[in-house]
Amino acid sequence: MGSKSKWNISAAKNGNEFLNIEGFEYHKNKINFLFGESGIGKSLISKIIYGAAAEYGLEIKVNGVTYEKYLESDINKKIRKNGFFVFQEPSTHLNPLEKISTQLTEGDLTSLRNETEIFNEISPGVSKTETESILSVYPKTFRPSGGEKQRILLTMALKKIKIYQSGSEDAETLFVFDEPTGSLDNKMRNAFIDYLLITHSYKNFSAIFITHDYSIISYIENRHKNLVQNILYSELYKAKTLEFRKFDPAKYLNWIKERKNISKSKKVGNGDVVLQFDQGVEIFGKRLEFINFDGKKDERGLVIRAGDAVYLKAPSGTGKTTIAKIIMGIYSPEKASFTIAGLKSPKVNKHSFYKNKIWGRKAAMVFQNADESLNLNSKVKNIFDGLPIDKRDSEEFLKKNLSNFFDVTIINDFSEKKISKLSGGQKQRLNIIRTMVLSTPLIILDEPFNGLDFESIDKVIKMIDTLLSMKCGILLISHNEEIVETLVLPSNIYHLNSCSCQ
Amino acid sequence: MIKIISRNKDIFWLFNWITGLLLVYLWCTAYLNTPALKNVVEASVNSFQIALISTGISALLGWGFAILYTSSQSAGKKTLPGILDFFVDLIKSIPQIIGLLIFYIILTVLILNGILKSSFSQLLFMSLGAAFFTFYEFMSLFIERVNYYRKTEFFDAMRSNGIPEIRIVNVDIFLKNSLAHIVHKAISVFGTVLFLQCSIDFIISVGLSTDVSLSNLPLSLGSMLAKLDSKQDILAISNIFTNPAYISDLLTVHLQGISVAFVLIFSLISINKMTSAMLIKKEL
Repeated sequence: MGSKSKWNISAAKNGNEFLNIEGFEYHKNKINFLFGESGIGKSLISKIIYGAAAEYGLEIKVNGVTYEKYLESDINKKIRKNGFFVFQEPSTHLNPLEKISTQLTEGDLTSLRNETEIFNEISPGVSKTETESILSVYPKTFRPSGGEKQRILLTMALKKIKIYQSGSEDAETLFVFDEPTGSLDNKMRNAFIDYLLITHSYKNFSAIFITHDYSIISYIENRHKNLVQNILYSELYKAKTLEFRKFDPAKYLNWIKERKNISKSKKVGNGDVVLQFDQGVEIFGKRLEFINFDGKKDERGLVIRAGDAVYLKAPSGTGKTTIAKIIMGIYSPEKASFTIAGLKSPKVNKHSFYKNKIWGRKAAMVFQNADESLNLNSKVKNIFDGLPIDKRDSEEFLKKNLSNFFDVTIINDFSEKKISKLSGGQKQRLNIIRTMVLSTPLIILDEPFNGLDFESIDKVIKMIDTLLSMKCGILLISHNEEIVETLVLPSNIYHLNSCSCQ
Repeated sequence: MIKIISRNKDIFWLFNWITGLLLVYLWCTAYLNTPALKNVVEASVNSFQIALISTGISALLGWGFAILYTSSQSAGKKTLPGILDFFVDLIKSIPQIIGLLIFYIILTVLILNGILKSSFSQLLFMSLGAAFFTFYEFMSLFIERVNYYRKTEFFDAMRSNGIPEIRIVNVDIFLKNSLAHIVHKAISVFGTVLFLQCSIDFIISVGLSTDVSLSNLPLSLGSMLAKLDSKQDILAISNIFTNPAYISDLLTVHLQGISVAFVLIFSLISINKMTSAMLIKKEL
């Protein structure tokens, strides 16, 4: 059993304290999974502990001492010397003026030359030639892809772990993985987790693994039951103040089991077709095809019926969001044919068709990035302003709908808050409510579980169930396969394939 | 109050500006003769009034054109934005000072034909002229703001939920997310108009045209500065290099020209400082 490392941390900007937590802890020599709504402070706390928060110009205190003093302490010097921080946005960590292969072998990473091997291990399905081609490029915005950049950074961290393990002493260290699997599909994610846990079992090290992906718990329980003693789950949550607590994996495992049982009782819908999207979409020089659950290309394309949820699955970058934006008239494809609630998408005058007949009336969409989708300078009480529904301005309507997602006791104060002041998870919930109150025949949810904690995911799922019972058709796009698959029937899962038009 | 002023450089310069103008006024009431004081006050009020009205008209014109432009863009139309682009480029190709001079010629013709009789209507026309050559600054800003939000998910996320585009643009983008940008632009246009108008009055004063004469037009800071006694007052500044004690005469005897020049220069400096501080504070 590793010893606990306890932390009291506060951070302020221009004298205004915005983060204060007492009793944050991680266990030494264990992999500490940390859950919690996005924007609650997981990344910042980890950056502060690691010693990577100096550049933000904040007034930080760590266990009663100033950040400058903390950075000078032996413990932090050792953490930085022996550890590694995998940033959420990998582009910020890669130098555009150096080849990736060079970046994987410089500085502390010089002593081991196993980067190609590690990259291949965590990239199943990627050939050695492809790996060499990825490693030989200078990083640009569009190449390598987001998933590849993430794996490059993970390769660096895993190399550093190997270097740490090759040392004889049991020195202080900390490896932080901040949302390391956000751009990876399940196959790649699992390969990374396998590599991390198995490496950890050779010689233990301390790690904080920040994630919103609760399905990792199921994967570890099923695949690495023998290693669970090396793993701890905890979460950050906001009560009156920011709090830290243990997260019981059984809570999620029982919940998902229950969800799976519910999904078994679901029946194939026979409502009206709310979306009929024909095969043969062509956009940006790519052809996109819908593959049925049995692996066949069905000429009917993608079909959603009233009261049914359909899950569109594909690796990152295939074009799931592109399909959603074509449906919503935001992208104009070279070739596409589809019908929304009986209305065929026109080839001309598309704008007036969508403006007058579709947006907010026959279809609506939740975009994946709540920070961009919401007006951050509005107050919570203005969230429904401008929507094409009756009573949107009434206080009763506001309270009734907010209470589906937020604690009733806080709603009065909460509705006066500026949206920019909310946590990422709270923003995401508002983003979802705004679309859901429309109850349009077709609702598209693009990554609806992004940044949500377990309780919020449960609430969103209940809201989806309510919409389905109201005969709305729902198109779901999500990386969170395990959770989404409990919402849809296997026959309603479509895979999206992409190939070049040439 | 002191805390707010010391923490916010833009407010600090607004406070300085107003205080400076008040001090000049108090000083002039003590040392400047009554007819000259009346002229300085009238010239200042007229100049600030023209700059203010002009900024308002400019903002309205810029907003109107931007709405036309962006809504046609949204509807996928290309002809109207193309025509607007051409029209604005045409206006931009005329140097502001030349454009304004043409407006002044029209203004004089209208005054001579008795069409614009009242001083206020003449001021309004002068403001319109300045607005015509500055409105594209607002137009570009409004279009830029809409395009910025179009590049993010903001615009699409709102309209795909049925929120009318006109509301997204006016309420969500302009009112709730661009006020600082608009205020910043307004201050900068106010300064531009003040400077342009004074420059024009000065050009006219050297006699470019027999039709356009300062005697036809309402009094302004520029026309006050162009008066012979004001010019003499300003030239008197050179005396202090040979006789430093002359500074007391400068601030009492030559007060008309000195105070007009001070009001003008101090206003332009304060406006410039305010906009620069706002840029930094609001991270525009």
